[in-house]
Amino acid sequence: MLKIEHLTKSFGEKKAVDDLSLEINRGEIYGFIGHNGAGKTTTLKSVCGIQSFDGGEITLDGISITADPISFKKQIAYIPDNPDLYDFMTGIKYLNFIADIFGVSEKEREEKIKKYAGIFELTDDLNEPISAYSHGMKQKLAIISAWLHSPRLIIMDEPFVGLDPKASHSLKEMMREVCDAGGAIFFSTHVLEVAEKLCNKVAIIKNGKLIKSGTMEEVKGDESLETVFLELEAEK
Amino acid sequence: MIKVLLKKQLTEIFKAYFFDMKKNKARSKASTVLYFLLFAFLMLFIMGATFGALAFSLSPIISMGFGWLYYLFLSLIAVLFGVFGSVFSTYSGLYLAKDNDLLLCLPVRVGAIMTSRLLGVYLMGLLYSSIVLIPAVVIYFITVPANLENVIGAVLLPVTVSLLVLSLSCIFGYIVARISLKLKNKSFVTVLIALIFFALYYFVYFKASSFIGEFIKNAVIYGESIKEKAYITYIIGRSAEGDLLSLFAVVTAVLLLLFITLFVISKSFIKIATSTATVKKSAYKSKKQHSRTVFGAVLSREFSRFTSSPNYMLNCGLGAVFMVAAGIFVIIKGAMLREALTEQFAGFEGIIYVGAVALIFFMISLNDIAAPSVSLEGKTLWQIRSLPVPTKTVLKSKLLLQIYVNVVPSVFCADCVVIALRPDIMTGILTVLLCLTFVLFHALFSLYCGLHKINLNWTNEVVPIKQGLNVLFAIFGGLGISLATGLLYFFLGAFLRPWVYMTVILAFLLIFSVLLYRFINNKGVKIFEEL
Repeated sequence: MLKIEHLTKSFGEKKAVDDLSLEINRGEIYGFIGHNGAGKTTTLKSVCGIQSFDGGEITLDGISITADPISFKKQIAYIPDNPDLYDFMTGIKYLNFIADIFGVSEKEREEKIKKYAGIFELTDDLNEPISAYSHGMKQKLAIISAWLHSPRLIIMDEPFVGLDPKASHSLKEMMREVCDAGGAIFFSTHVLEVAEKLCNKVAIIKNGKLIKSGTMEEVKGDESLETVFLELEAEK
Repeated sequence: MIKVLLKKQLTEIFKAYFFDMKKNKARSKASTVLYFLLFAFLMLFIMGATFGALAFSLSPIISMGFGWLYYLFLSLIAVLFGVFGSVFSTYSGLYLAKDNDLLLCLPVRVGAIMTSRLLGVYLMGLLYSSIVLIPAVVIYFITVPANLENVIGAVLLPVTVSLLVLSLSCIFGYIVARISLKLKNKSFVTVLIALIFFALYYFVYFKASSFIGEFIKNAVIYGESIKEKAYITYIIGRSAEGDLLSLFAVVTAVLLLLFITLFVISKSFIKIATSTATVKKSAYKSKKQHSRTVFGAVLSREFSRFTSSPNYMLNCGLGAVFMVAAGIFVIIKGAMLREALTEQFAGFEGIIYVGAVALIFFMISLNDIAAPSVSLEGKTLWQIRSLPVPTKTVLKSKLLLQIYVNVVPSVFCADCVVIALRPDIMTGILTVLLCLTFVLFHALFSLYCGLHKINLNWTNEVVPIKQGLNVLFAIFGGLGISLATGLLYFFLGAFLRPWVYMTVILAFLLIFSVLLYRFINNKGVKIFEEL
């Protein structure tokens, strides 16, 4: 489904991502872990077309993000680590804006807004301006907007930060539903317990280089993901 | 503790002089000194000279023995100027400070927090009132010889006035805070209040000279009348002249008012500073949603951004209000204007029509909505970049918003000009066509400027809206072209009939519009995609 081949991105002298290759298939929840500044966000931003890259190729079912960004972006949704949404809109205006961009029908958006705003207990606040939302509420709104157009691939950067336990639980269930329906999730996290329980596959990045990837069993074996991660981090 | 807070407050007040917010780094020492000198120049020479001229024009009443009336009048202006300049900073400085929560959870007395906050307000009030009062005192002593009493009065005058300004700013700031907690459409109310202030300012400005003339001519009658009917104002004026009893009464009254004000504010400070708006929340009810095209959605996004920000509307859309006001003025005063202008420019009537077009160009140039629109994406740029929206559509929406805001007022204004000045049919049609073409040209030019010197790392939206070089170029470029359009006809008017000249300008504007459009569609798209 998603193929990242030899991705390279530098900021000045520093290589943020160095020859990184990954493949994510339908039905997979793919965890992406690494220390601060390892290159996770740069990779995710490159995948969703926010950031240009120096080398390599990113394709989704054969569609290239560089050659046909619009067709590529129609299939995905992205939630950043810090959801800076349009403060000047109300929650409902924002959701309608996203639905308009993806051409979601009036009936479908109505049903989905009702369903997901209900799950995240955000319905009553949808008439409020986003500027009045807390960090967690913005995160919930970003998640609802990502689910509105039934994307095939959802890319998330630290999606659980700021969410209350109930919302975190709901998000995990929604992630599984996407994969059960033939979609895929690619997300970064520092919470290794979550990654261990939730992901089918995991990739560990260190200083821009992919140092280990595969199914959860292949990566961690009999140990905990935390132990494996710390051991890999300790290696020079 | 108070010393630490005061130091923090002073650092915050003068941050702009030490720190370049556009580049997000500290200024060099030379740059800091330059900024301080520029500020001093602006305050002392430009603003000070303006009020110096006002004081000088009022000086005859000092010689007439009405020095108290002279001081009373200028003190009143100083108070108004000081309060106008500091009332909004009182509100934001006291109640909207971002570190209110941080300081309130530290072992610091509320009084100390308030004192440090009010230092900024006091300095602002002192600055504004001194700009009026220092020239007033200088002119007074040029007219009247100095003695111990009037020197004491003159020295204490800025102190008492600035303390009065502080009290009044606190009272108004408190009222603004209370109202703001209950207000739903803050942006539009702010814009409305600002427009009323503008209208009042221009009204007073245009009436000032005739009022001052009238005031000086009848100073004796006014003076005696005020002394008789409002003795307290006489005491205020006399205190500035050094009458010790009056001075004691005024200083006591000002200190008492300040004490009561601070007492009332300190009682409600925590409540107001920590409360969020108590506007009744209208809970969302699930209802039928309406869809739009992608372009409709992106254009609506630009429109929402524009209408949600008083700063954006006032700084980049005020020309639309001016055009409507100018149109109404021209229609009301049409006959008189036509007569006066035809008499003034007898034999060279073409300049009247070209001049009117140049004036409309001038007002259109004030609306540079597209210029800051790219920088305004700021930290939310990731959104539009991650969505399946072609960059051309994004740029087109920025362009069209500026055109939509300008098109109706400019056509209205041009129509009013044509109706009032009655040019020949060809010139009339060209007047409207030229204004429409300039709307298109200036929108393209603003976006062209907006695609250069982009600043996405701002923390306050005022930076991209008012302080960007691209905004400066967009406005002054438009103003320059307006001026050139009018001036050029002075030289060419003898050879060209107005409609011929207008056709040439129209052709130039269309050619440059095509060039700008091509740039935006090619290079502009690349610039935006590489952000």
